[in-house]
Amino acid sequence: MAEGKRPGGLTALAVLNFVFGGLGALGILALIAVFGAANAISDGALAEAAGEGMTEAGMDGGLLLVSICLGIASCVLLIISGVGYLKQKRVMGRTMGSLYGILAIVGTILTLVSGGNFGLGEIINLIYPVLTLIMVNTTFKDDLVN
Amino acid sequence: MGMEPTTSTVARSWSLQHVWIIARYSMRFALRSGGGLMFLLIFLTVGLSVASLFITPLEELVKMDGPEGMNTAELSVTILESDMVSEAVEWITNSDSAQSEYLLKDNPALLSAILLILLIAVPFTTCFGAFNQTSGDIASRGLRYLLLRTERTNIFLGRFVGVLLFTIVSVIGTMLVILLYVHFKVGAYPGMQLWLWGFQGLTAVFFLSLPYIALCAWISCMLDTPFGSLTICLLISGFSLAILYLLKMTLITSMKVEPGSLDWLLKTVPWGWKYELLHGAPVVRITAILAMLGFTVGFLFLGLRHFNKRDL
Repeated sequence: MAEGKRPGGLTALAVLNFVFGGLGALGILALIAVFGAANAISDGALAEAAGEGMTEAGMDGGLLLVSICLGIASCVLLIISGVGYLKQKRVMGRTMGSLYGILAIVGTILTLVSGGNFGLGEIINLIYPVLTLIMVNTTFKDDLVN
Repeated sequence: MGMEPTTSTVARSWSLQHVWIIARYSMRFALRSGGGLMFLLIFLTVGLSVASLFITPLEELVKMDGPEGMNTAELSVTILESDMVSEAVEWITNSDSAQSEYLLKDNPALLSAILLILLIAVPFTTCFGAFNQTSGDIASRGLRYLLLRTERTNIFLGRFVGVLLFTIVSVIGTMLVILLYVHFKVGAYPGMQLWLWGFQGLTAVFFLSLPYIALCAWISCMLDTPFGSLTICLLISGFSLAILYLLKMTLITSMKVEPGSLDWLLKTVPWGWKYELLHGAPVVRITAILAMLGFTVGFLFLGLRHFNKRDL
């Protein structure tokens, strides 16, 4: 199985990884660019206002920063594991894919702990990490061994 | 090898055991093929997005200290049981006030609203899971190896049952998440009422997906390319509706035909029966189920006839 042809599902998973990873990276870059530009125009007033707003809403800034870092790490892991799936690599595919799944779930939990709301949006965001975690460790376990 | 008698050939042409083995294999390997994975992702995302379409605005209203400090449960009951929503439901389902009352007042209104929109999406999402029942293997000539061990009928029906089982599992998973969320997070309705209505919604989704899976089985065995099969399945599901709606409008505007007398036009496709699957009157519901089964048998018959004759 491992030495044979790559299953179509694994290719689809790799393509989805590139799509979600690329979109996530673009989103983060756009957020940083917009926030940075707006902050520079307002001479730092925006950052202060955001900080006050977060405190008023009962949100923990430190935890929020950690969850943003986890989001960036998830994007990187998505792309690395995508390459791993295509090459059917054990560490690059299965390990990195599992790590992405765990990080994405932990990131969602941290967002909730830091004052975010748990809604259907969060459940939709969890579909792909949970599916990845299940599939790379069951369905495609024997295909990711190179 | 001597020529086998005709009766033996007939007996060999259909085997429940073979169909079940092929169905099980097909279902187990649905995720390994890209189509199954895509279907699961699409169905889960569409199902939960439809639910989110109704629930998230209510939750946002509550967060903003909405009308008179109501919680999500009270707000959903107040808004979804209003006359405006009732009229919208009558328009969408093309039914009377008794049916809208059945959907919005006798049963959990929030779940009814989600189901009404979900039933619109089911024919299209089903195509993503069912388009590649045989076309990929016909293209790669892979079915020839299977034909040494079993008959064409068993392969065709086995693949159909396999996709059906995979669809059922995906639908159950999606509905389970929606029901758990509405039960525990929204908490607007008594548990038993919610879960019973959820079960009826689940059967409605199942019966609506049946003829579309059969249609895909037919198209899939006609075409050698999975992409072509998906495109044609989606086009038939969507364009047949567009043509029927246009025909209805033309007849009403140009030939001054009474709109009510043209209701049968949409009943010529499974789409026209979908809301009857949630009807309050058991006779109407059973008729809709029989219609769905009729469409399924019809598409399967056409598909099987083609599959048995074609070059594999």
